[in-house]
Amino acid sequence: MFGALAAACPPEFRNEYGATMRHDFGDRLRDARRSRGALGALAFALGAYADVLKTAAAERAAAVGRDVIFTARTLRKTPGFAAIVVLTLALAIGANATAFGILRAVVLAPLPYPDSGRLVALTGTKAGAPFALSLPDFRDLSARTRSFAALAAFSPRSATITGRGEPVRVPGVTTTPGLFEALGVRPLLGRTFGPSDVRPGAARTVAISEAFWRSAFNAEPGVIGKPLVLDGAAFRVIGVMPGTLRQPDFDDRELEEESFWVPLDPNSTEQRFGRGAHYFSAVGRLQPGATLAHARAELDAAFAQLAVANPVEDRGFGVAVEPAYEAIVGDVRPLLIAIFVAVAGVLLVACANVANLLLSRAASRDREFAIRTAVGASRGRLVAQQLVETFIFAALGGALGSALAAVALRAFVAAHPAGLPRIDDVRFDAPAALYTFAAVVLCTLLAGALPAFALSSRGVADALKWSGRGGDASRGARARGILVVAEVALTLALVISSALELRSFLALTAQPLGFDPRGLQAANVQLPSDATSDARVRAFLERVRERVAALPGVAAAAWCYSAPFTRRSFDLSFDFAGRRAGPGRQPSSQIDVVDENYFSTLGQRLLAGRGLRRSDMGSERSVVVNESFAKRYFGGRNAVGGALLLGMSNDAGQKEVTAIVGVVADARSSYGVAPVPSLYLPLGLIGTPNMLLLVRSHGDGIDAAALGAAFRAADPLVARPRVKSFAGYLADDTARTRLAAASLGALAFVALALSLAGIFAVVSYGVAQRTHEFGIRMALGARARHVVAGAAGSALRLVAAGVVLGLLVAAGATHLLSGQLYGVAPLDAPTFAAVCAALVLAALLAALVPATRATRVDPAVALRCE
Amino acid sequence: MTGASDPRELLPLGAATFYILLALAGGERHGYAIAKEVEEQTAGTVRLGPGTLYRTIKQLTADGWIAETDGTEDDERERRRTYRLTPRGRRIAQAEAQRLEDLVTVARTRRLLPARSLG
Repeated sequence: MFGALAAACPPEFRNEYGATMRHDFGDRLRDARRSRGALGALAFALGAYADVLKTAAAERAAAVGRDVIFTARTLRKTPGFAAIVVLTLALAIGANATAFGILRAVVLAPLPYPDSGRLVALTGTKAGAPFALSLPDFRDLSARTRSFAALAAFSPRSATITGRGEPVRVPGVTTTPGLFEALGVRPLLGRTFGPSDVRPGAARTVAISEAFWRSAFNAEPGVIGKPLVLDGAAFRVIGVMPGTLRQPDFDDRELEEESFWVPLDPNSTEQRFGRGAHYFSAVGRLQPGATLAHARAELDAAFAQLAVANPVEDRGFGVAVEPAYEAIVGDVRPLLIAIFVAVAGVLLVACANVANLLLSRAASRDREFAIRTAVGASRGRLVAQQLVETFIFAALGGALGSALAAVALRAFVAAHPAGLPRIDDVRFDAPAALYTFAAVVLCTLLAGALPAFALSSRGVADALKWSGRGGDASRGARARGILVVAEVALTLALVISSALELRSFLALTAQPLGFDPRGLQAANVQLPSDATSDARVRAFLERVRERVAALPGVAAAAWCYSAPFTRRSFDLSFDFAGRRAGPGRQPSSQIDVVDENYFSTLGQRLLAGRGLRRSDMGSERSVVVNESFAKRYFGGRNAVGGALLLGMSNDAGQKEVTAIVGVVADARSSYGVAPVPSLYLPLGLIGTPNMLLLVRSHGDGIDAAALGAAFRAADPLVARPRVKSFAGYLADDTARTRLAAASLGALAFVALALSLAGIFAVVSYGVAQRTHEFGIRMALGARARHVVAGAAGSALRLVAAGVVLGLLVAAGATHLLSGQLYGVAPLDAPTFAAVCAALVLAALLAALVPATRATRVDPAVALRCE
Repeated sequence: MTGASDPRELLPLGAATFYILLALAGGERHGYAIAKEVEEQTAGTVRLGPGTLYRTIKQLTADGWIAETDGTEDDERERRRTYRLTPRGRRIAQAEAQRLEDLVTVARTRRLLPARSLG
């Protein structure tokens, strides 16, 4: 028994004192039994077991301590080598920690609501594509399904807050009561909405967010009951909601912290919430026993009934339900996982490089290893020493990498890239630190194990002989070869992936827009009155437009409801005059409401007929259509002169016939999406208080303050408009592809640099090892060409093997990306071929530079190395 | 190995170390005998386990304070590795003993210990 425990001691100690300890133990045990009996013997034995285990631990710790000191000495003696290793690992570990931090906050973390797995998002559909629900539909769906413990419908809105200094626009949500209960959020102050808030004639109530409370009310505890004026109407604050509650808006819209919620009666009979007005989303919480599949089936059945009962409004519409988490994260998860895999690949390449460096360096310490073995260092000891050294390098790299990651994550959040949800939660926190530590351990094993085992297995006698003649078939050569192949394969896969993403991005942005975005801005304005059909309001709009057009640098200005890339479109049903379709079979088209300057300001070309004129405004007699509309509904014939009846066919009363007076070229609403048929209606036909003022300027653009001044001069109650450039809109639209291309590109560059450095190092080392051989060959008159080929040959063969392997890896990797690519196939042959060629060329250069040094070996020097 | 430095710089010695040096001051001993002697002299309060004993012996050997004896060529040699004090080890043990005596003297003047009887 004692012997078994003694085996825990390090081999050197065991070999020296093991037998002696065992015999002593036996003697003393007998002694103890004689003098103190069986119990005394037992006591002695237990004490001795504990003692020997303690000794084993102490001896091993002392050995590690010696390794640490040895490593420290190595670091001091060869700081350059140490610096390269530590920097390589720091970059790789830092990149991994950064990617992990982002992945964790954006994808892996659960939603910040209790039992968030039961939260679901309901989205209306139209012809199978995502659209929106109407309030009566929502009402009927909640009545006809049993799967939900709570359901709430909501729609984003905004309001101008007045009476508290300068008017400001704040985004908010109109919601049926029960939203907060569905999410499981309790108010910080006050209460949530209840039936009393939506009773007919009830006083107007509003709930505000924590950030709004802090900024507008200075976080005063007495805010409950205070008045708040929204769009000219007086509301009473009844609750403050905590900061963890984000807008339940599962779009890509920028989420803002300052916001409010206004309750809506689900049974409202207001016309603007009619069954045909599809613009709500819904969120629900499943009942404890209900499954998503069951809820989906219930909803489909219920909606099918609604479509039959209300063919005009609901035919062709539907509802889709998915976990709330999916709705927020689902789109972006494949991309982030692809990036995470790429960054892990870079880590592998970095570890391979470090392993190679360790192998090369240690190979020149042949004799030291041999001597240590000869004087009794066990193989385990040598392996342990190498691993301790690698761990110290990795730990230093990890510490530096953590600092890099913390900075990188902070910069990432500050840059606020569009297209990624939940990035406010991204930071370098405890899980990221833990992950960094795991990466350090992994690097130690990956980079250190191979050198440790390869180096400790050599025979002693060979190494002690002076060998200037050892070819590359020296210690660890095979291991180094495998590493080069692996590096090249991973690098090839990474470069191909990033090349495909880059091509996607270029393909997307190469598409013609149909308008000129340069120097164009959009100011989002909330007008203080309800409708723009009033002539007085139109006069106000014109006054403002003139004032803005007169600002220095402004070339043109125009009012509209929506513009390309602003994501504000909506649909309208219509009929052809004299050809009314049956209920629910009406065609519908995207519509925009514009003034007479719209097409010229935007730079959209007129193809036939005329644009809109000032005299067209305020009536529905004239409309302009785009090319897609003309093609879809008028085939090759001229659409000008066509007659339409706008609105849903069940609208009561005679409708005025609307004439198509012109056709404009298509303007793309989004990269990657084909233009849709569109109608351009004159201002005043469809009233809306929230408008865009398009401003085209010569220079960099007009700042919001100047525009705000122009507006306030016309009406002091107008809040400062929010201004965004079209360059910004375009950038937001390609945000994800840009992110993919940029990050994969950066990672591919790093991997390429590491691999080329690795090839360079391998060939350099080979040349140094075979100096003797090259000297003789040169002295014997060998052609330089052949010597170089000999020096670089084996390395290039490894590169070739790596390329073949890499093509397979790339085929798999691009499959991961296929959902993100546009205009280029995952297995696009030209890209694969081009990248292979480029990589082979680069590798050739990396190998030839040191290889040519072989021809410059002085034969006399080489021969002297005997 | 430390050079010819002042042994007082190496004081105070660890407990196990001094007891082993003390035991060897009485002559060559093997490991078991050292441990037994230490146990007897301290009335059982200090028990050197086999691991601690040989670990300390290893360190003392490396420092050059004790040395393994070549000993007699009997077949007990296999089992019993004996050790002796080196001159350096003796000087260090003396220095430690002197240090302890000085401490005891101070303790006597402070009445912590009875004054040495003269009889």
